[in-house]
Amino acid sequence: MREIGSLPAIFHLSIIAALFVAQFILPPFHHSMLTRIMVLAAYASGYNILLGYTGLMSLGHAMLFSTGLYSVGLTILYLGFEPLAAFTVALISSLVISLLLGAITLRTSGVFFLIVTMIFSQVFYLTTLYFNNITYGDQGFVISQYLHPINMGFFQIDFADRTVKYNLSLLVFSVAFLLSLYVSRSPLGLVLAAIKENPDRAEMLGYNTYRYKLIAFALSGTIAGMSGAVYALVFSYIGSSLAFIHNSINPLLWTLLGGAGTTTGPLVGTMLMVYVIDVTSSFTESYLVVVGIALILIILGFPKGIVGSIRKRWLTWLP
Amino acid sequence: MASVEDVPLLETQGLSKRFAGLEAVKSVDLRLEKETVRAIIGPNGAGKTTLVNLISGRLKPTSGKIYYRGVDITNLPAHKRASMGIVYTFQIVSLFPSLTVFENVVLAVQRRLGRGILLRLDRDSVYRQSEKALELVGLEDEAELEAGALPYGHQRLLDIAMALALQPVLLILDEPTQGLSAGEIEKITDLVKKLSKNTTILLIEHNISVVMELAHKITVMADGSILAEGPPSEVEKDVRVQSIYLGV
Ligand SMILES: Nc1ncnc2c1ncn2[C@@H]1O[C@H](COP(=O)(O)OP(=O)(O)OP(=O)(O)O)[C@@H](O)[C@H]1O
Ligand SMILES: [Mg+2]
Repeated sequence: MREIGSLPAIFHLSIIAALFVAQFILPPFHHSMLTRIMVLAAYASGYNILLGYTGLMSLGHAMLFSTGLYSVGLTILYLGFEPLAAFTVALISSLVISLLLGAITLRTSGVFFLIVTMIFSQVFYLTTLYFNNITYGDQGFVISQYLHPINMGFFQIDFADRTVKYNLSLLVFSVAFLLSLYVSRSPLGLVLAAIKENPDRAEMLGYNTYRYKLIAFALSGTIAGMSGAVYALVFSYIGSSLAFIHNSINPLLWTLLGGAGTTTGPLVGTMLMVYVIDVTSSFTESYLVVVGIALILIILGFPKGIVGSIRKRWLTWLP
Repeated sequence: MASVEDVPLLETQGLSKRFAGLEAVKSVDLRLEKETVRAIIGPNGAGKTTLVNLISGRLKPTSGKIYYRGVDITNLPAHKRASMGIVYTFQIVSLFPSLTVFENVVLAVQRRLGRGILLRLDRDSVYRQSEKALELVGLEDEAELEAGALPYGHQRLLDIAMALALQPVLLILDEPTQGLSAGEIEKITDLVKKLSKNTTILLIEHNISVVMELAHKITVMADGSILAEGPPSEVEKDVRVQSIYLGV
């Protein structure tokens, strides 16, 4: 029956607790790796709501990630916004852009959806290049000098501090992670699963499938934007490369590798891939080949991804 | 002016559907009276499924109009018609195979009880009513199985349980007894009979004894058109029907 259930709830909270504790144990290199992984895993968890839960494969998420990224970057750089205000702008703008992009692209389906989302995202990418007098295009810009510490009375949140970076990443990951757990067990999640499996029948049960897909798209896109916003705050770098198609393919890959439709898959896939690329890029330039091989292996060996396969074989209670 | 009572539950006027060159439904005028069982019979390819697809909204007509309770619904999407009470079960069983049997009916029940994005749903009533829907067709012991793992006959019953869980006003059943055992056919016949007291039923059926037992009125289709219409006793005697359909 679809309830969160105490076992999965404890399991998910334990993962968050383990990530929290890890910062006190990990050596600096892995500390910073995990900071990066958690932001990206938040992005992948949002992507999973669309791909894994609803069965829609988008190649446009780089645009949504970058909407959050640029909202934070530009409002801080040009308007002198405080981080929290910039973050709020990022959330709202990525929600609005997701709704608009979804409303248009969800008129199509299957491979057309893939292509149309990709086209919009590439147009966005080219726009960031075109207005390089504002965005600094490919070269990008850094906002660390404008990120003033937030004074909380008895302590300060200093964005240059690695502990702050780590916990900010953990926070955004936890939000995306728990939200995706909640959705997967909710009546809404059941409708999304139904649409993924048999949209025609869902429609005949009286569900407005277009509207539900739009909800999933907006949720997924807003999480992408939120991750982009935190990325800007944590890494302080804002550049066009993050709007490029690579950054749409990445969450797709991480989600497939970890297990589309599982709640923990995106984290597992992101963690594995970020480490694999880090290791291989140290002795080969062509890490894209590695990515390609990984994709082929996933499709052939683990069509359900790592967590998907584990769930099927051993842990059937896993959400 | 006709009084509200005289308005048929469903009426089609000159309803037609053309598929690239083939006219599957030709100017059909159909009137369904409230709380009756109407059977549609006719040879394979007569256009029966196409006609009910037009009524349920899965297909858009090439021309013609559809009225439901006197309101023009010709341009309404399928999901709107379903939420207005026009419920259709496909000729080919259509479920959510990787979800559990229980989740399949929950989907039907929560759609009827829920609003918006289903945040404020009363889960207890959803579960209670879903259990009831499964009991109605005798699938309560299989609730936690994957729907796709059920034997064919039970998948059919689940399909019908989902339709019933929507509490239809007009229930369209497209060959519900196809491929079922005698026992299962009897179960469905009983269900339809019970249901017909407060539901209008449009039944496409090849099994003549089922039709004769259930139908208040029979419409015979051939080649996209209505060939004959009347109470079972009359239609049975109709010479044209016998030659075209009953093969006598
Ligand atoms: N989507 C479609 N595209 C093209 N032709 C179609 C389509 N659907 C049905 N047809 C054709 O329309 C005609 C009527 O088909 P329909 O399925 O309505 O018949 P039916 O009376 O339900 O037959 P059966 O008893 O076999 O179910 C057939 O000739 C069929 O081949
Ligand atoms: Mg048919």
